[in-house]
Amino acid sequence: MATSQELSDFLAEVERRAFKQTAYAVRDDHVALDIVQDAMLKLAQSYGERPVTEYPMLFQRILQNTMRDYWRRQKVRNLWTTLFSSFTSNDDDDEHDPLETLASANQQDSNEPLEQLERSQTIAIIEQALQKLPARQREAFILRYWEDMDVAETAAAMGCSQGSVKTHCSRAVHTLAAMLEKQGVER
Amino acid sequence: MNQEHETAKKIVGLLDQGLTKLDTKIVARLASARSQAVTLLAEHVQSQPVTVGYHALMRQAADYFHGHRGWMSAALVCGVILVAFVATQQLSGKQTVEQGDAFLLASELPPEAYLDKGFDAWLKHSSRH
Repeated sequence: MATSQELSDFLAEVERRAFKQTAYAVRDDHVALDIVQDAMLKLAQSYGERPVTEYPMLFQRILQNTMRDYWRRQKVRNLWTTLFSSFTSNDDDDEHDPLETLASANQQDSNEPLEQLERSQTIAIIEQALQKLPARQREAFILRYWEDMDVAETAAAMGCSQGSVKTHCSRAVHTLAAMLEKQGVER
Repeated sequence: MNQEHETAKKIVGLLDQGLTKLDTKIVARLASARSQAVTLLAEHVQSQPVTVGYHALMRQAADYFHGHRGWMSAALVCGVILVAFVATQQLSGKQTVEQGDAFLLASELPPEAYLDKGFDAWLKHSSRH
């Protein structure tokens, strides 16, 4: 059984990624925070006695289910608002060409304001591209690459076959790369 | 495939960098949610110590049985044989007692006594008195 400290450490490690992942899906920071909070509480309440090694999978399943619950409620509540929000675009069509920014992505300690700005813009482009991905592709990409799960774990978390995970991931990477290229970001 | 993986890793690297620049209000709200979850776990553990203990005990027993399946199966078969033997003994003992009683009742008078006419006359005579 996991201790309170282990739960705290686990949540501290995943909470920011979970928030971002949810925010990409629901496109609303406040709703994303509510969903992440719900998922945290459900994990503690229903699966607190499970070993800490099971937490990543359990948390992802809970998070996905909580997001689905939100979508179901949202669909019933306001279908038109949801449809409208999916057409809104926040593209920054500025002159900046962040080609070199991705190439120097690993230089994290740079203090140059210009580089920081460029990097922020690249991150914003990537985040927008992620938001535009189909939900299952985004889910597969995030679990497989950002949460660093293997194919089997991703399949279990998503409730689909390993073949589907591979297909979703491949399509997601290709779509992201194409979107980034379109925005002038080099792979 | 490798190209795909590398592209994904580069994107994820940038996304990780973005995590460090989260708004302080969001970070604070996440910390608060985490704190609530930890408190909930502590309360949950305190409120159900018996259930947790019972589950832990059952899990330990199941694990032990799973780890010693061969020995446990053999012990189970031996137990069944022992119970069957004791039950058989009990039933056959009962039968022996019944047979003994029947023998004693039947052997109150030897069969020769009924064939002896003198004895029959003596019995009638003595019963009148």
